[in-house]
Amino acid sequence: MTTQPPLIDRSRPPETPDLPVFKLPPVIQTRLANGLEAVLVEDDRLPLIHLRLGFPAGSKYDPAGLWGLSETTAALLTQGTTERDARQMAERVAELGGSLRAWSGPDALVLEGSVLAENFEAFLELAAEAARRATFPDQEVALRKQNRKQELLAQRALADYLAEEKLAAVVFGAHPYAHQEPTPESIDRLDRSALLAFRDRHLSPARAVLVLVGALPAPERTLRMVEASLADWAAGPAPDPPAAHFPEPRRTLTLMDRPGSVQADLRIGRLAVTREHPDYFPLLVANTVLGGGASSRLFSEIREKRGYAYDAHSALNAMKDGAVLQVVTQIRNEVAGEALQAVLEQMRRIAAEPVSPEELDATRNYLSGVFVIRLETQQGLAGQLAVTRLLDLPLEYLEQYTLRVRAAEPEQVQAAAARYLDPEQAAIVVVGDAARLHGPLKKLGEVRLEKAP
Amino acid sequence: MPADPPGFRIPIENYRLDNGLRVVLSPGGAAPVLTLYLVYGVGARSETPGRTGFAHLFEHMMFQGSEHAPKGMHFRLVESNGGSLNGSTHPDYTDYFEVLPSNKLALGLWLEADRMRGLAVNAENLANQKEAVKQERRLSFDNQPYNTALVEHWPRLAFRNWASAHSLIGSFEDLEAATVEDVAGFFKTYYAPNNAVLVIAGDFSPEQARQLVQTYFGDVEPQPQPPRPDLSEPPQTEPRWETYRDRLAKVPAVVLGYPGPLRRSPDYYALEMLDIVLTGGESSRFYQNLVKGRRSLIQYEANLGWPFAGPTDYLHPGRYAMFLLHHPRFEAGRIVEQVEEEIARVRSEGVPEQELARARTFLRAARLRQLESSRARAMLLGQYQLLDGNPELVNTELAAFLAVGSEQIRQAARRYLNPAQRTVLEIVPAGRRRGPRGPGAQGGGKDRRGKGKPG
Repeated sequence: MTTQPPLIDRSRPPETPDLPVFKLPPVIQTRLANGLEAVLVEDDRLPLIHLRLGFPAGSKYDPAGLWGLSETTAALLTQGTTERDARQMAERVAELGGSLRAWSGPDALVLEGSVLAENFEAFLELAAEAARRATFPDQEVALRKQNRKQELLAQRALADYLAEEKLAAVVFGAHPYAHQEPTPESIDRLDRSALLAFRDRHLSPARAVLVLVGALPAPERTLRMVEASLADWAAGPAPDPPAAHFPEPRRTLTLMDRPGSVQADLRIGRLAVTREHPDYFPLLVANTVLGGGASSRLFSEIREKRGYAYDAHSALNAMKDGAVLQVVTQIRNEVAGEALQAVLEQMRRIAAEPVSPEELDATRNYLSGVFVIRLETQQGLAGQLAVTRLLDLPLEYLEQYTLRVRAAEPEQVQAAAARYLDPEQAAIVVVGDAARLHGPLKKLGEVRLEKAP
Repeated sequence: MPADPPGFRIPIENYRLDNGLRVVLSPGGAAPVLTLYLVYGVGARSETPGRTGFAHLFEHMMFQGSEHAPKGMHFRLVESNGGSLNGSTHPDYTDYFEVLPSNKLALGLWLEADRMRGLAVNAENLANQKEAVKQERRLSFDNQPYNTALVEHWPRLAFRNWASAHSLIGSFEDLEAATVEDVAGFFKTYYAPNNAVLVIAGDFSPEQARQLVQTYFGDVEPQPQPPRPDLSEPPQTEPRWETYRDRLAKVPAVVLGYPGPLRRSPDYYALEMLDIVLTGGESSRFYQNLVKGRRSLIQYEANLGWPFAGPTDYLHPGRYAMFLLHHPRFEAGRIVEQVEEEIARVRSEGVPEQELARARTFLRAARLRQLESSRARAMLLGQYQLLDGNPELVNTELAAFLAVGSEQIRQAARRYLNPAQRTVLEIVPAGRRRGPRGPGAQGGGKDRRGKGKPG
């Protein structure tokens, strides 16, 4: 190949077209007689199939004091059934070229797996077996409890884990969203009968969503397989979720002492709005201008310009019944006071001034683009399809997402920022060396001092 | 026995520009997204004494602006066009990626070519990024349990050659000493088209991509081929053991490793299959016998190349190493014994055919999953091109793994995984005891043993 002199001006970025409009691939959506919803998407690039079977049975359904019940139920689904013990189950999954595990989030419990397409039928039967006929053997429950307690010990050595846990407690108060992780004491209280009862009560086909993405057999055949594994599963009554009552947002200051920390984990957060709320998309944009990605204001100011921290971002985490918006950074002890002020200043600024057209356009594109990037894999697409339905949103939500992000106008964004990013109403949580941090923090008000576990 | 057919074929176009830039194109994607991946043949093992952490500091400088893209523009342009980006430093290479909407390829190429052609290195950017790297170090290492042990102590214990043994994140002193001239020199030596591989994977047209690559990269000046670091490692003849007291850890852990084989040698394939038998998924021997049977392990990770590489970017000399988080009622010595009992069983009995068949299926599925996202596929193609000169391996190498038999595994375990060549780093939670603390304190293990350079 010969080298031609370039005909274009390389001193400026090239003009490129607007982002492509995102269209979902063809989706087949249907319901079995017992209420189970099936969502199918064909993707035959590779001989793989991803499966997700989700239930509204997340940690918010944990009874008070039994934190970790949902996640432990999930963990035990693949540790022995009426047909085979845990070892046979693991060997069967591996023989099929599969992976299969269940986990629980705040709202949903999800059984998730991927398998070589040639073994799909057997894998679907195995997944149904796990969801329906797990036996929760005593020795598996005991092992899970033992190891989860050690994991908790390890997690509680991490400052960011402690900060996250503390902020959730302050923002969500008495609601179970405050307890997305168990405690050593709550794990001690779990036993086989509690797990069985949770499974029987919450894992019902009536509100379950099955998502299949990949090199599937023809739709009629796939649905026949789904029927064969899941149609004779009787539906039970739907338990009510806990009432969505949360404390009024207000300024609180919590300092968790972790002696010897070389930096301070700082979180500033408050209750925000869920996806159905008219403020949600403007707030999502405001949050992203403030702290989403590497061109956000927090990243530019706190990291790039001032070098206070390596990471400085903000996140809007919307669950089904409640949401939290939080600024997250880990700042050097020596500059903790200045860094805290700089973060608060950015929060005030986004509420005080309209976002410029360029910044708004850039942020809308960023949100739209990364949303589509997440749909590139079978797992990514299946995850979004499942979560959308588990939130009781229509699948069209996935196509509307980029349009609604684009529809957020500057005045809506500023109004949302004024409503939800006012630092005077935010909880501030700092985990670090109290001897170094108490001074700068108490300038903002009365500090509640705690010890790290 | 005949191997299962791989059941896939990734399309690949592989060529080279006149200036030596290797280009790999792999079209095909489920979403309107593509990945642009640039990998340079320089990593932490290219560093020289007094210059620890330089490869990583330099990776940061790559985001500080170039001839026509001033500071901040790289992040801003990628994100405002709906993309995401990052870079990372590895022992043997440094890589950069942009994941972009499918009609934004020209933009990514312009940005990468502009900074390959000329980087804006100045004192202010350098000072700022030294701070950012120090903060990253505090965040990711000094304030985290286990990580200081892994990044500072494990390499020094496992290797005798300074290139592999030194701190891969670097010391604050060396970072401070880096000058603008050092950075400019490093750039000229290593960030040349003839020391790089450019991969584009995902939803794009290869014809158009060829033209754009030529337009943007065709006239970037090549440089003399940079020297390859001498990585030669003396053979290990006796076991090594060190104890590290971790101020931040709450649960004890053992790092255990053995010298590894040459990349893509028969023993490499055999050890990878053995690793799946021992540690791959819940049907593995570690999970069934140690997590469950003995209830000694809580979590584990193991890999050829662990902790800074995996089997796909493993390069000799490396280690087959593992991290074992274990229940405190077991001593570290007991954990090592239990693991070596598992290995000894393979050394004497090999692996039963049924179990090996399962491991093959496990590997085939795992490799397929690695090809799904344009980013993971681009990284794999880039590594194969850079380290082996052959991106087609993405389609063909699976057969070499699937052909491994029990006897080959047994022989490889005998040659490599024997106690005489074992290295152990025991990580003990140091509880609440505190050493002297000052502004320069770097956390982690005030009373660590065995400090100092390897002899």
